[in-house]
Amino acid sequence: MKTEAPEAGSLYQEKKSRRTRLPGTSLLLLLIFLFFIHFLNLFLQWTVIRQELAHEPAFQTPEYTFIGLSLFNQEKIAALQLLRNAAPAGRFFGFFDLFHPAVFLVWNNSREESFFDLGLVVMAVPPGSSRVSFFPGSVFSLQNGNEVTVKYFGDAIISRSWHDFLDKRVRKRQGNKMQMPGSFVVKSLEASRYLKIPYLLYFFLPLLLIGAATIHFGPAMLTAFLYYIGMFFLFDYQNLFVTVPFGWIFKLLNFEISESLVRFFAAALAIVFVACTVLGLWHWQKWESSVWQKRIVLFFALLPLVLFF
Amino acid sequence: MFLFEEDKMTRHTLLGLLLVFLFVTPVLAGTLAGITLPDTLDVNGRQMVLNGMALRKKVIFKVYVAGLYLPAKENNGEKILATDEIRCTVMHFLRSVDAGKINEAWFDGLKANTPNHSAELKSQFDTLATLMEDLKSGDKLVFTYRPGSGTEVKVKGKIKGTLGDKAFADALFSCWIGKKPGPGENFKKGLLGL
Repeated sequence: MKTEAPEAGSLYQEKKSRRTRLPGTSLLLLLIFLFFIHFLNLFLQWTVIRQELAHEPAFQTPEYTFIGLSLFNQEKIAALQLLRNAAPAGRFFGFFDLFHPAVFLVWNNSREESFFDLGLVVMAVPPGSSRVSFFPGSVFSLQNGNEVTVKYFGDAIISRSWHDFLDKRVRKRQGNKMQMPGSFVVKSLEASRYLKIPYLLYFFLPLLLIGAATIHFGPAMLTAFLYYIGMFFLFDYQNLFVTVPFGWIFKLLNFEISESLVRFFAAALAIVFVACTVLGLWHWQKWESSVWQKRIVLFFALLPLVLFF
Repeated sequence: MFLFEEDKMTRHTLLGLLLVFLFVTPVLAGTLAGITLPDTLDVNGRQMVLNGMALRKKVIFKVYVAGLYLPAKENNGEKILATDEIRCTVMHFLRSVDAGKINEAWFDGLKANTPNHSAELKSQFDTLATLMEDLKSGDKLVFTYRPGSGTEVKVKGKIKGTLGDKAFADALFSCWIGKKPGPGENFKKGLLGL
């Protein structure tokens, strides 16, 4: 006979562990982790630029001094502003901060505009002191006296809008200073030993991690290929998907790949990534996903934005 | 019944729109020597129109097809060069050409159209020469001049750099639409839509 009274818990029954963590805690931890990745990415880009200038500069003449993270070197950077005209023909002080992978204080003591290697680009710097700030998304600004210019040197799908946004923002902040033409030459990523490292990591490391997650958690983790869809729009997809990761194969085969072929291979790979994501989403609906699976997919979905900024 | 009619109508409208799209699209583009260039080009939110197209031939070989984009159609070369407006040239290659040959053409164009050029302009053309690569059939060279910013050079779909000021852009565009265009008068007329 059944009684209406609720079941009394046994003394020997194991106590259910209470969830003490707030629902937003894991999200907060994820954001902190993403911020850490953002910092690592900035440090990677700064290191790559520094190594490029230290070992493979286009010109030997300028003297480079690398300071590091601006947050810990504020006094040193402030003191540098007083060094004007005290340096040899060309002198550079470089540092990075939480938004700029590299900022250069440049002293060009010649009487005319001269080309200087700034790691990612070789730039014509006007005489006198200038400040060159690299922004995320292949944009840099060059400021010299009352003139400022914001230039774009990438090939990402959305970067033009990003450049236009930064251009307006920088100009507004500088009190709409005069715009000046500025010549620059973009250094080839695939030809440089150092500059291609970020793109190699961006391509292969997530591929390995997503592969491992798929093996461990099942095919629903293929949804994490969302990462590559984000990267397709935010970065130069031709360099990211073909030229940098597989350029060595074409070189080995002594095959010079044409522009249309690079675009074709990159588009084909993008379609493969979309197909993987769709397959992952299909499995996601079929199977119940764990908290960890959700966290991992969310991480990979947000990662392109973190790497971009 | 009414719903069915409406469904049928929607289907017919969609089919009609698709047909219009299929037939209108080729009209909204210029075609020369098998190369189709879009009739309009969006550069930084600025709509540009295809002013004209021209074929560069050397003896019997087709070398490249070029298209000139301007904010509005203009058939006077001098007027185009005098105006400080955005302009763009697309060169679509039909055969392999090595970087040396391309550079030779730039310097010949500079000498012929801007004879009293400054040392600075010469050095900008020297920099331009460093940006050139050996090109294959299907590769493109795109030059976009933006006032106050310089001329962006795109080789094989990649931005290779931005050079000079208006003087450089004028000297560069003069190679095609100047007084003595390197590829010839007919080529210039083609770009000017004459």
